[in-house]
Amino acid sequence: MDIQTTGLSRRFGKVTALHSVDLSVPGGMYGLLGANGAGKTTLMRILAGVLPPGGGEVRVGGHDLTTGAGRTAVQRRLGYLPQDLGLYPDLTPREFLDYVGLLKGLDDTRARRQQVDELLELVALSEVAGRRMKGFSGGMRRRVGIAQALLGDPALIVVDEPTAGLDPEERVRFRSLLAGLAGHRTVLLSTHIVEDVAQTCQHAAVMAGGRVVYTGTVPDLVRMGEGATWEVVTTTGAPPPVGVVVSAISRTDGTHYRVISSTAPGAHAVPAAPSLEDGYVALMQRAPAQ
Amino acid sequence: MPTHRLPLWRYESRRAGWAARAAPPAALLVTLVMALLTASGGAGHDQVGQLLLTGLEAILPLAVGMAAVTIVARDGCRELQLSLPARYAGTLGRRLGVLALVGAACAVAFTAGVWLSGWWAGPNILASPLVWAPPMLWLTGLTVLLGMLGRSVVLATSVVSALWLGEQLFAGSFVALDWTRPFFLFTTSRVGVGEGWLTNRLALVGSGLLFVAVVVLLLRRPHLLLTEEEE
Repeated sequence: MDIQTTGLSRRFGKVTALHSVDLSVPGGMYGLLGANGAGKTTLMRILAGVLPPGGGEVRVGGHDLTTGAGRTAVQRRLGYLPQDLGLYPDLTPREFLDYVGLLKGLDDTRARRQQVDELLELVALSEVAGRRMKGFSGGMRRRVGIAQALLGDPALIVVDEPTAGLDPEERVRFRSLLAGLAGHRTVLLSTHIVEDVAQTCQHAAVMAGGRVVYTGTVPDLVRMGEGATWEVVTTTGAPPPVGVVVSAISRTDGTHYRVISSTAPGAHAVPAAPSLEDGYVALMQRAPAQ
Repeated sequence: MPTHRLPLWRYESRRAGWAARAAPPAALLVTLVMALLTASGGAGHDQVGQLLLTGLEAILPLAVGMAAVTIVARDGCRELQLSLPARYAGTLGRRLGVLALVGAACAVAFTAGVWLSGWWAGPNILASPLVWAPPMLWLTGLTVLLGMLGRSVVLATSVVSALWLGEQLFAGSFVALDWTRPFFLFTTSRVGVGEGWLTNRLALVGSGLLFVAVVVLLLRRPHLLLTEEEE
């Protein structure tokens, strides 16, 4: 299910959350990177039909999201995991999925219940399927969230910051789960965690200040850091005077800094092979100030 | 109703929460306790009957209005709900329907009990729904409307409570003015069933339906329900 936006904009009062966003998402797993406040959540909400667009064009699977009929048509084939999924703490995961299934129009009781059980198995929640969600951990709640998103076998899955706040083990498990879903679907993953995109996506877009500043493949985004990624060791402990420090590790011979800079950040700076995070930071440095 | 929709109504009944299930019986229980205390204090038959009528006309509708705005304003999964193909207006409608059903059932049972025990001081028993239904519709419609416009339960409940209290404290002034009389909420218990009573009831129903119509219009843009935190 492809996504096309042209000149998409959205304002909240005097704040412009999206400035003329042009984006083309062909299918498969697609990452949307950006800092907090970059406009990712607003874009996700528009694509999920939660918010109407302020201006411009949005088409998902050929449906025009500027119309109510278009939004409903997309929502029939959509699975959405919002950033803050509140859940209903008095319900069990089985009841919650059954309820969402009913709201998604899965009226055949037997088929719906079978699908609920299969999804609970997929997200490894079968053992707690009859327990109220009140005391669930963040990871368990996200898994309930992705299970409800998968109800009805949607062609498009939109997940907004799904791994934020998860411990490393849960994050890896959740990433693997998402990557496994993208076979015959479009999965749009919005995150500010670069590693999530690095591990799961072939294509990505980067947003900053309500604008899309990059679209392309993940390897090309990595290459944005070529010639701009450096390693510097200092014995004083002070960071290099130029560039953006990506990481700092203290060792016996001094502090090892990884720096993004268009010029060498010191006489002893050594060029390094960039990671996706380096490419992302290099891109952000080059992006026009908002 | 199609049978496959019954589970949905069961879930919405749970989503309506304790407010929907407990507020109407609690309001009438409070009325009953007050009436018992008044009666045990030596109050006359008419006075106790008036008090019971006040519970039905004033206390029950206020409780239902407060519960209604709570149902509309508080939903832990609102963003998810707005992404689903089922219209959120319909979802809220089912939850409010549960509240209305509980409120009406409590009112009918209370009326029957008061009438059978000989304490009924209202109009003909067949017209008894006009004692509680118009103020309930009016207060519920207004509270939900204010809650949606202000996106605040506190604002809506405060304004409506102040209006309710104002009408109770300054009943004479409301009844004396031609333009406020049709919209006085407590005509049955404070003025009595006489000339203008039916007009008053119909005016309350009409204006209550107007509030509901505006609420329905606002629900055509359900994202307006997202609070600033949710945005």
